Amino acid sequence: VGFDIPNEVVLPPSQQTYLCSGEAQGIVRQFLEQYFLIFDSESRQPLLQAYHENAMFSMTSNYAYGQNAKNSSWLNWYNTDNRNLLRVQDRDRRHKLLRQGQLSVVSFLSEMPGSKHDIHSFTVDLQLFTPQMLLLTVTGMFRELRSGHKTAPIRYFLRTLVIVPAGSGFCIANEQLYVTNATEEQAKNAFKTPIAEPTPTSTPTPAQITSTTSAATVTVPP
Amino acid sequence: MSISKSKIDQACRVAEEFTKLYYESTDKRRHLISRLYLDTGILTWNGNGLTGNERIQKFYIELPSSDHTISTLDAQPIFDGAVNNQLSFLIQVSGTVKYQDKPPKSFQQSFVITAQGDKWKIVTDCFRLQEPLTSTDKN
Repeated sequence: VGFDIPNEVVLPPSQQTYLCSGEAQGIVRQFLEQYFLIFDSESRQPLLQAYHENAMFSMTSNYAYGQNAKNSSWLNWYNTDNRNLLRVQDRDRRHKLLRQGQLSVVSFLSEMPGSKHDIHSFTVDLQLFTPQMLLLTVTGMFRELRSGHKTAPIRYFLRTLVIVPAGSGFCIANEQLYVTNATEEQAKNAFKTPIAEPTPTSTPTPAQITSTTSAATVTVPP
Repeated sequence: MSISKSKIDQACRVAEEFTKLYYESTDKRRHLISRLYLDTGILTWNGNGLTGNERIQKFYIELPSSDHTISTLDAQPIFDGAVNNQLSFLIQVSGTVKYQDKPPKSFQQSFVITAQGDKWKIVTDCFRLQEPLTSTDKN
């Protein structure tokens, strides 16, 4: 005779996307497509227009559970600028690793290793959509390019973005980036869906969203 | 118009205190978790959205018991224009979580917290387990 309490561990099934407002879908999709098109291109300089003049950016990184420098790809590049407050106790260092202003942010992004993101692997959570801001969290996988590894590592990232209206479009005011290695199971699924290459004639345009999806469509969520 | 250094220090200090309290509450005093959220707080748990601290409380009560270990923590003051000048911080965490006797998994989480009177409250809480997307996700 047992007890009437299930001892099975059942977690709610996960969903790839959460959007607090259906109206925001177009804005979010366009923003992500444009941002990562430029981020994965030869020059990240055009991202200047995707950031607010007082934008803030910081990065953290560590090995995922069960991974280390020996059994997975090195994360050394990311560790140099890792603003992990659990480890970085020095006040000045905490300030220095919080990049402020669009020039400082984009100059850092430009130094990051080359990348190719798998947009089909993205999860998207849009939690706030008000006339003042969008709060967007994105996770996904990217292949790291030209970084000296024998085989291009597959990384996993999380970005949290505070996006504010600017002129006829939007720009990023706050960003936090976390980078780790994809797990084996994740890496198996990466880059399975072919990504449409951008048409060769088009040069990447600034990620700032144009007036066609402007504040006219922005509403306060119920 | 750059943000004052003391505000950055405050963001870091509050994030350290907040995460300690948050994960202790999630793991050991779950029945009190709703008190950490605004009445209108929002939780998205692996893409499942819940609005309001009562619904969030109910969700946590039904979730298998957990044991979180934090590996990284980061915090920034949020741009004033985005939050009507109300003091708010953006916090990002990574770590491992064990549900009952299942093997640990990596997770990442981000929060917006804001000052309400003399208390810090969660405006938004976004939780993601680091795992492959399942085929049912692709809808």
